[in-house]
Amino acid sequence: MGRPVHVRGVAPVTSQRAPGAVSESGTILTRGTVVIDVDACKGCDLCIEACPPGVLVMTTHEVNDRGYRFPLLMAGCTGCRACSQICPDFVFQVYKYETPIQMPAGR
Amino acid sequence: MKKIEELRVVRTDAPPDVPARLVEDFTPRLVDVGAHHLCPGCGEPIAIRSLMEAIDELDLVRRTITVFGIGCYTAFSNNLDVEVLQALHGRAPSVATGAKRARPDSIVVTLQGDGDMVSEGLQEVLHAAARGENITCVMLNNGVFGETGGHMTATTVLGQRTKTSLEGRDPVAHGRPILLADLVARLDGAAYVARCAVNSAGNVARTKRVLLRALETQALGAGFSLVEILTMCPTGWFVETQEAPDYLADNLATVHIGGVLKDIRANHGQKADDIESR
Amino acid sequence: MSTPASTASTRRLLQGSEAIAEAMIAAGCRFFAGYPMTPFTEVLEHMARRLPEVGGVCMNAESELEAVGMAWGAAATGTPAATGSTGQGLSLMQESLAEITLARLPLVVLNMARAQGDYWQATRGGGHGDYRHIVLAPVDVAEAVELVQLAFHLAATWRNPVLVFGDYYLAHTARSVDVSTLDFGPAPSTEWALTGESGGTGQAKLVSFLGSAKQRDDVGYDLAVHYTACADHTAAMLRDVVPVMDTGMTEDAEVVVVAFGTPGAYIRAAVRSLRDEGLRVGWARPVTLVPFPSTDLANAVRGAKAVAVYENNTGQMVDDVRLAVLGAVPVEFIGGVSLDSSGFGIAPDLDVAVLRRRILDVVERHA
Repeated sequence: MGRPVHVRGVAPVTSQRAPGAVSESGTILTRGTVVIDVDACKGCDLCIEACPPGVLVMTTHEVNDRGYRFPLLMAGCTGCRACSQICPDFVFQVYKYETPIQMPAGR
Repeated sequence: MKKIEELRVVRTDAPPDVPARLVEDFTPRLVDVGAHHLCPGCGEPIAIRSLMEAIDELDLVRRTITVFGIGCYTAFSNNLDVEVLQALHGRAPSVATGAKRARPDSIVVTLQGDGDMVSEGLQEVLHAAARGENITCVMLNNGVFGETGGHMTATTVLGQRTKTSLEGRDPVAHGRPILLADLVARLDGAAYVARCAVNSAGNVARTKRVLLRALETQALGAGFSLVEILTMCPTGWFVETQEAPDYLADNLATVHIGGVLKDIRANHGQKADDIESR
Repeated sequence: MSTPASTASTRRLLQGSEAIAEAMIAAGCRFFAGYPMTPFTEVLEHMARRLPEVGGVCMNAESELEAVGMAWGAAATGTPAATGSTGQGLSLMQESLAEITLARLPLVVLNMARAQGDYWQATRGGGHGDYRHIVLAPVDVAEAVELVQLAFHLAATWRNPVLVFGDYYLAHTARSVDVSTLDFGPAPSTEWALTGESGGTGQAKLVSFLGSAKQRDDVGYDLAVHYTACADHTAAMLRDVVPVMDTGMTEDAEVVVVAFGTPGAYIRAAVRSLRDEGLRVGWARPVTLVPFPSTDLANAVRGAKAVAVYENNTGQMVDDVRLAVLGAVPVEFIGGVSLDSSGFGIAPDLDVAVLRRRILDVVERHA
């Protein structure tokens, strides 16, 4: 996995999916996580829509070694494997925590 | 709306340092090398992953011979940990027939595109199905000849723009699409025929179930099985990668309609498995 | 080639098609696929009847394309396999035959030809690209029984298709023959064959015209590497397969007559008849059309005044004869298209009187 390359410019991010409920303390119960092979990604965005809790977001100006944007993960992952199943480039490795973790919410 | 720099992201460059179970590795066991040069957003690797997982789940890999057609997916003929027999464009069903008849204990699965199976090789798949050959034919249907750059095939839908139907497929100039799964399901020799898609995680799961059922049909010696998998081809469709799943749902899946079209092993009255359009 | 010694009890009166089928089975063929077409049809009929009796499979495919495809699939599993047709049917099979060669598969292909116009199709290959098949041309049913078995041996040894060039006469002539199994020694290894068993081991096998090994660290095929390796293999095969030619009375011949296949027997008879009249003529009959017995032919015609080539076509093998002789002796074509109204290859010219006149004409002008 390589270092993301920072490119000039800033843009807002939108997401159509909603993660699980954010607690009053601003945390969200997170059941799983992923390892992302950043340089394998071809920036197709399929994982973003596929993620049921909507906790994946594409970089907007950061690109990998091949010049593609790639996904970032926020709190709230359920380890459901939708991303790994929909990804055409085998970018994801998916884990389920033995004990779910309250994590600070991403948004 | 927050700017991306204001989002709190989780580390994803290493496995978790708290107790956690690996539930999915980067590649399934039977995919040796995940890297490929297929387009961003291509649906074919998704379908191939499903097929490799299904073969492994049924513990069939030490009996399986896959027969590859010619198309973009041929790129995977070289990096799967399953035996591969390469056939010519359209010719996989006859090659698969010979292999299966010579080695009846093997599991023989073809992997072909729509251009391969329905344009060049229509005769071959129909005859194999009519003969009830105990093989499984898998068609990756994206409605174009992808490998040559995106041209019309026998499954291209009306209105679909390709390099040989630039104004959209026109019934007068180009005729109408062949709905291959429906055609095969009408043959008495076919035992299991299903159509599904990989444009959503839910549909990928349905694709896997359908592939498992097709492979079981073969393993039980119950006859010919066909699985048609609608796959995204943003390059061939002239759409953005993010739009391709909707394009598939709105244009291909409304013509090549998903579902289990035939299952001679299903009990009478059992509802066929429905596929959502998205 | 002479017929091997045999006892009366092992000889049977068989039509050529049936003898060829029995020879295939004796050679170990356990998969056959074909499509009916004259004069190949009876071979398919006999295989359909006999193969199941020996635990094999015979498929009446729905087209010649599917027939060669089925034979391809069976061959890839290490099962000795064959297919065939007549020239037109082989035309349909050409793409597959070219790629089966690149996939390094053993396959025996029968051309039960109509006349001899398929010589170029057989020896040059009618498919695309640079490939060669070994081609064997029997003169009669007895030789066909031997050559068919030799074909399976060569195909397995070289992992290359071998074509047996027959014809209508061969198919429909009955002859007393012995179809016992010829012994070519231990069978070559079929370790490359697909059985499913190497799947999931990290060493899953590949049978492909695009390459010979899975690439686990890189992505894609290197066709330059593969095609070069295939070319090297073809060169080795053409160099090491021993060409075979039958000759008679060539040592002092002034005119040597060259023919292949069934016409070879008629030419032999015509030459003997002219010898009986004191004329110094001889005959040479290539048995392996590929590799063509160029050296043997050049030696056989050394000292002759002319070479006459008879074939039932507009002149195809005559080119290979000219290349073999390389200008040392004049080469004349005394063949031509000779057919009855059916077009199946029944040749009015296959008549010793007709052939004598043509040979005499060459003798008179050169000797």
